[in-house]
Amino acid sequence: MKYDKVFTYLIKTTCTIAPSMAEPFIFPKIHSFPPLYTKQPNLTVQEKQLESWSDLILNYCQHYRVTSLSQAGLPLTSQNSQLKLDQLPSIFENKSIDRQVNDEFKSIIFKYLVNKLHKAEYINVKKKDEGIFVWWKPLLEWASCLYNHMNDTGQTGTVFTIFELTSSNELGLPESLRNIDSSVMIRILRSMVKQGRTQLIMEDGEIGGVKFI
Amino acid sequence: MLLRYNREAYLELGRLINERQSSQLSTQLSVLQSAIVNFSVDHRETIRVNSEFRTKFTRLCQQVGIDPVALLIHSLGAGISDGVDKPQEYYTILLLRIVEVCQETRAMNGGLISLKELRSQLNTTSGTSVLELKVTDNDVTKCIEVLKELGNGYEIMQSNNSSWLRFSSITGGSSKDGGISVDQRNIYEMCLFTGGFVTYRLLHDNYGWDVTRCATIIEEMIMEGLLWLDTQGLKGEWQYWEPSWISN
Repeated sequence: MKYDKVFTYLIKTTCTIAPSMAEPFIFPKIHSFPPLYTKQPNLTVQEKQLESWSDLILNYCQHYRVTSLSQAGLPLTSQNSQLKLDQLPSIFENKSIDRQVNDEFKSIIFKYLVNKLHKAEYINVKKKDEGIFVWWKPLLEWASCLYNHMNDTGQTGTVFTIFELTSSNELGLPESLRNIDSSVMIRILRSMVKQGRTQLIMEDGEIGGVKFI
Repeated sequence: MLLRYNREAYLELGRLINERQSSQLSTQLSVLQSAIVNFSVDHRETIRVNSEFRTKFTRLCQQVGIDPVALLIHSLGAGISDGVDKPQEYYTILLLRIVEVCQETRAMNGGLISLKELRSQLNTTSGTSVLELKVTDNDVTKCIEVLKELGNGYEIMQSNNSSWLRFSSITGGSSKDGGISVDQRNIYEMCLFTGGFVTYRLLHDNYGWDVTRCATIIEEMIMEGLLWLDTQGLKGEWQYWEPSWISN
């Protein structure tokens, strides 16, 4: 009878399918188009250009499960602990055609991702140079996958530390929820507080414990 | 320990079940889709004549993920070999689709698309791999002839053994007569030659244009989305790229 419950849970969690992460990301052809690296003067074209950059960034981050980028566009955190982040191919520079995006245009692209598409968020709204969270999976979806897992496995009501949620796998998290960087996890948890699904226990200004309700 | 082992095993089992179910479902879906494609060819007359039937059939197509317009093009053209005239309706509907593709890709290519790219766009927009259209260059050419009768704005260009469809926007823009000017054509030819771009220097050295002439035509083409600016050329020279490069 107990297994029946496990079964229903298994079939319900579509969150468990993990993509393969070893292959290098294949950049679209437009990444080799030299003018992509110059902000276009024609505004209609520029809009299209910003869309292309956004698609590229989202696909890239999803591929490597990168959850945040620095202001310069370098990966800050990834769920894939085997990746060497500083060795990933560069997003904003293409050495083979000797082109790169300048800082001004980078921040315009990020602004587009954040304000127009709502697929990214500044890590610190007051200090935009700290970089962005990239939500190739919407924040709400992260939250509900995590909550459903805790609920389905009967782990609501227990207090966990951020460390337990991010670094160990005592909680039996599906692969898609494992190894989330603590900065990203805290962002997810805060969104769940608003939904009334989580309580945070504060200690000296930091999160000491998390309880799913 | 045992619990952990069980959990892993069940996770694996669950994944397998998910995978199998989803692959069975997608097989069933493609069987249904091919049945609908065949049906549309066998009964194309009924579908054409009976409007109530057609409405229901169209709704069914949409529900199982087949683009009804693509299906119509397929059924009207089925079994007629290239070079032989197809029903007038075939061209009319295909024409509609060509205009759609042109409008959709305009922001990206500025209104110039190679026939090869256009055909591949037309042939793959059906929504399912079961239905692959086989639109030919002949078909496209016929359609463009009809379009021309409806007014200027669409024109086939030949350059370096490849054919291109050039279209100006419905709202006009600055190409007054809707066609391409001689200067624009020269720029396109230079782009094909260099592999995608022109510079003031190239235009000056090859066509003898002075700076003003270069600036006027390039400015105009940038505003129409026909050229993209690149400020990082060799030694910082500005290059102007022709955007259909991306899709070719």
